[in-house]
Amino acid sequence: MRCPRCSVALTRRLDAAVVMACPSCRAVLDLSVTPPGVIAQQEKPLAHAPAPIIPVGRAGSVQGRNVTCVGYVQRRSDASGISEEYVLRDVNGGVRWLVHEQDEWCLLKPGKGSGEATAAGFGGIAGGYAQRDVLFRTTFVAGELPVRLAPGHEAKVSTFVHGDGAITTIEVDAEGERCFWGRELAERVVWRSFGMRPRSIADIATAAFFLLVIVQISSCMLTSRRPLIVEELSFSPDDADRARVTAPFELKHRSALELEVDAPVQNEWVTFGLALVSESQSKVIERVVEVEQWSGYDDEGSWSEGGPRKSTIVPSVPAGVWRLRVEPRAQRTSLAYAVRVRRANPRFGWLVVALLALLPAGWLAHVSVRRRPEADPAREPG
Amino acid sequence: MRMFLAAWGVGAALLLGTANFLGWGLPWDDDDAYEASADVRSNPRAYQMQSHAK
Repeated sequence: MRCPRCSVALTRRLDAAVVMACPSCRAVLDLSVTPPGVIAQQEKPLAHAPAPIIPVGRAGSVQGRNVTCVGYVQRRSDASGISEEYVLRDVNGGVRWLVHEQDEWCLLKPGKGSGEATAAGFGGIAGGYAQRDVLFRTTFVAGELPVRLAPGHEAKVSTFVHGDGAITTIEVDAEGERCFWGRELAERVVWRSFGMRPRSIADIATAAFFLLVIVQISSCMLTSRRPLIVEELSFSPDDADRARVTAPFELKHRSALELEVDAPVQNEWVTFGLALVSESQSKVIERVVEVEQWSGYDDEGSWSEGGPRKSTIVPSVPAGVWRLRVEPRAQRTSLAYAVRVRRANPRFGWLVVALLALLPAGWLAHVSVRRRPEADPAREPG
Repeated sequence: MRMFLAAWGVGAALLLGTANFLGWGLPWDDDDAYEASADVRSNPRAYQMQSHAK
C-alpha cells in the first residue's frame, strides 16, 4: 500500500485500523476504501504540546501482554487541556488504549456493549464516584487507529471513575457511541512497560544531590590549600610586648581563611588573640584561639586532652593585602610557636546547607503529585 | 513540578558553588569585624584587641 499523497510505502500493523497517518507527509488516510483516500492533511502536533512519550512502533509489555504501539492521537479540550492516547496492539490483534492526561495514565479496552453495560461490572454508571463530560477536539494523529479520528474531529467524552481506580469512558461523536473500560496505571508502570526510565521526582532529586556533590568536589579540587603564609614566632621574658605581626600576604579574591596556631604546650593553656588587619581597608577581623594540652595518670591509666594545634575559620574575607597580628596570653614567659594562614573554602557546612535547601522543594514536589493506585489486572468487570 | 525541582536543584548548586568560591560565612560563624584606624593599618602591632577589651 502506498500513500496517495506522497507515494511512500505504508505498512499496516493493525488489521482493525480504519485510519492511518502517513509517517512521511502526515496525510490522514481512510483505510475503509480502496485505494485509501485522504481525509485530512496535517502539519505537525501542537507546538506547545508534549512530544509523544511512546513512539509509534515501540514494543513493550503491559500487564503481562506483549504489545506494540501502533497509533497515537492528540486531542485537546478547553476544560482539561491536552490528552494523548496511544493505540496498543497485542499479539492476538487485540487493541488497548493507553491514555495520558494531566499526568495521569489509564489503560482502556473497548467495551462490547453500551456504556451502561460496560459500567455495570463496576457497579453501574451511578456507582461511579466521579463523572466528567469533556468535549475533545482531535489535533493530531499518527500511526494507525481503529476509530475514525482525524484533526478537527470532535467527540464528547464522559468519564466515570469507580472504586479502586476502575474507569469507564463513553465517547459520543457524529458516528455514534463507543465505550471503553479499564484502570488507572501508575506512571512508573507505564514507563517500565516500554523499557523507559521516567524522570521521576526521586530521579531529579538524586541528580540534584549528585550535582551538589560534584560541585563540592570540584570546589575542593579547584581551591589551593597551600598556606598563604607560615611564620615561626616566639616571645621571651625580655619582651614587654608579646604581640607579633606577620608579613603581609595577598588575598586575590574574597575567600574564607583558616588561621592555625601550632604551640607545643604541655599541661597548660595559651590563648592567642588573632587579628587580621587589612592594609587596604579599615577593617580588622578578630578571633581568639586557645591552645591547651593536658595529660596525666589516674586509676584507669594515662589520659590526655587537647593538642598543640588549634585553628579557627574566618569566612568571607575581602580581597586585599592582609597581615595577621598574633597576641599570645600565657602564664609561661617564653614560647616558640607557628602560625599558618590558608584558604578554608570550600566548607563542608555549605554542602549541608545546600542539601537541606533541597528538602522543601522535594517535599513540595512529593505532595503535589497525587498518588495513584496501582492497576489490578485481575479485576475485570462482569 | 519536575522543572521546578530541577530548577531548585540547579539553584542550590549555584548557591553552593558561589559560597564555596567566595568562602561565604555560615549562619553559625562568628562575625567579629571591627573598624581599624589609619594608625592600626600602618602599625598593626599597636592594635588593641576588642575581644580582649570586652
